[in-house]
Amino acid sequence: MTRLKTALACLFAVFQSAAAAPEDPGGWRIEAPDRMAPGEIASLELVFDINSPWQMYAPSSLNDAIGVVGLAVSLDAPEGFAVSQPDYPRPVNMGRYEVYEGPQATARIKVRAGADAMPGTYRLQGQVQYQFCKPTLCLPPQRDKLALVIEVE
Amino acid sequence: MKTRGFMFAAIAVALVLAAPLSAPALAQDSVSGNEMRAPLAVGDEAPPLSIDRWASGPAVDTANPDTPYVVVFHITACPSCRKSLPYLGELSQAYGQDVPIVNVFAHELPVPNDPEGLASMEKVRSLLEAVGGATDMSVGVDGPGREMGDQWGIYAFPSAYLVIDGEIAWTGDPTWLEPVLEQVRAGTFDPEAALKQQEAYDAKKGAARTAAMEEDFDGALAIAEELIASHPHESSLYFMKYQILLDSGQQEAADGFLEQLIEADPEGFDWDHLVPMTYLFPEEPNFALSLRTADKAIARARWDLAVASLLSWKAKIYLARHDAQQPDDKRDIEKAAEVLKKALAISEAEGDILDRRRYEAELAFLQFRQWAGVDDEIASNFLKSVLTKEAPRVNWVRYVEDGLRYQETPDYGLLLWSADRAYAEAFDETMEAEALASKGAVYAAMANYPDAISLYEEAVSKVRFAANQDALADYEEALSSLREKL
Repeated sequence: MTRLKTALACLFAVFQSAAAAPEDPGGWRIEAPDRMAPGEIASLELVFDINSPWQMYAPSSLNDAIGVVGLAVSLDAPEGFAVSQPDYPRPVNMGRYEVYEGPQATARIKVRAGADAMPGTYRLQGQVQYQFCKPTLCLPPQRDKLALVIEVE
Repeated sequence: MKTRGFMFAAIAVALVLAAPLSAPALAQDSVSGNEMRAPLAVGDEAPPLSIDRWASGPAVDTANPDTPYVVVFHITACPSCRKSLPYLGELSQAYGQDVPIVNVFAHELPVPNDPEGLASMEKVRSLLEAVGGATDMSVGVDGPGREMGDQWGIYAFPSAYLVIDGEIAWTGDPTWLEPVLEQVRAGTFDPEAALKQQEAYDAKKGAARTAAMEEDFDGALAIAEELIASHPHESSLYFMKYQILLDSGQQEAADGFLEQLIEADPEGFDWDHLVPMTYLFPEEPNFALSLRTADKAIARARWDLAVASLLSWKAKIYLARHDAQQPDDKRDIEKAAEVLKKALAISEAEGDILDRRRYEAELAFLQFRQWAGVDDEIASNFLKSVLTKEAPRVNWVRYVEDGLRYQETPDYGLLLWSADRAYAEAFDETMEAEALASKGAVYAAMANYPDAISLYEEAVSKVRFAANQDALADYEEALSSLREKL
């Protein structure tokens, strides 16, 4: 209840006209290991910084129903690697939609280097889709590519 | 897992192919690759209207420089855009002869194998059909290359622009258009004065927020009232006043304000947002007033699925009133079930599968609550029916808590199963801890203290890791009481 109250309190925020200087809703970054041993499992974190009063839509059937774009992270495993489904953070239910609020929301993906992975450099690639809105304004949904390099020793 | 060698933000970001969003891209659109201009301001030359195709209404010709016109940019993934469409439809009917209004959907996410953007056109048409009341106005769709949106430097939606003599004369939220159009029609519109007015509005709203944060509630209220008088169509100002009244401890005045609002029924008011505020914000909610607010919202809802959603809120208010006031009187639960059945019927008639499943799950919970303590076997059968079929977003922990609280002879096996489902569907460590603690509570009720203790210990370690101090204190207290019993 407290979280919903905080979220709804964002309605109090000053409305900025759409044509004013663009505001910074936040962004994302990866926190990941730079090297792993064969057979090792590591957690890759996608950290979303969300500046109030902006919110980011969560992956949710409610959000699908109203047509907003929920967070979706995908990562392809190179040969010799396995990756898990993303573990998304818990959203705040706003009644008709579900959102993440600031300051941060973190999605995690587990990455396992195969027990017989050959030493060398591996490139993992994927995609992040997300959308920021605040009560009176939305930014267009973004679809960014992501890639990271992990060294298997 | 080994913890060595983590490279944090700076290095990892350098490996990202497409720069993540730290501020809206102005130099280049990350999807289309087009060069984007800076957002347009008053006095700038208006770029041409290069609409790819029209989704509804007549094509608008802006060739005559003597005719002012309005361009409003939308995107389908935008609740505020959706809400503004019926209002813009009304404005179009009232002012369109003198000042044509052009709505443009831009920056839709591209769909694979759809080079002509047909999927975007389909999405826009479905949305117009769903919102109703907007189908006669001119609605265009930007091409898949996003040319028009990028030429106009659009980065946020909805955004409205008034163009007079080929120049941007005003820009802002489309819900503020009516007085602007009135002045344009009367020939009294002054772009500079309008800009100053808008800046003054932003400054005043900021001042109200600062005053409220500094607990100068009288000052904050005075500003809020002044703003409401000058911007009667801006719903957020009414929310602001309501919140200031509650924050300053003036519950009666807040209720009185709500009564006045229901009576005044401002045109285009955003009742949807107000409904949950009325029973979640006050320390001691006036549930009768919350229910009246929900009724007003339902009466003013413009399409059936919105009515269904508001009915589900009304059910939540009934349940909250029952929990707060009448634990032994089940009439509010019956009323909640009654309104939720109406929501379910609407979602079935509209073919809305996702909401239908949600309402079904909520209804099963109400039926569980209705029978808990009256006939525990029937209550448990409702729980079992939810456990054995796929249901979205079920609050399993609440089943456990309420089963233990209201049932005289709970089916512990089903409650343990519910706690396991809560654990399996948890998104993070706090939810996992909640699930473990609920399972521990079931074992405690069964007088199985060793298992209860072990589960609470695990819950404590999880919330300690997640640094959730409130939950930590609760679980430690439960743990200490269990250890005493052992």
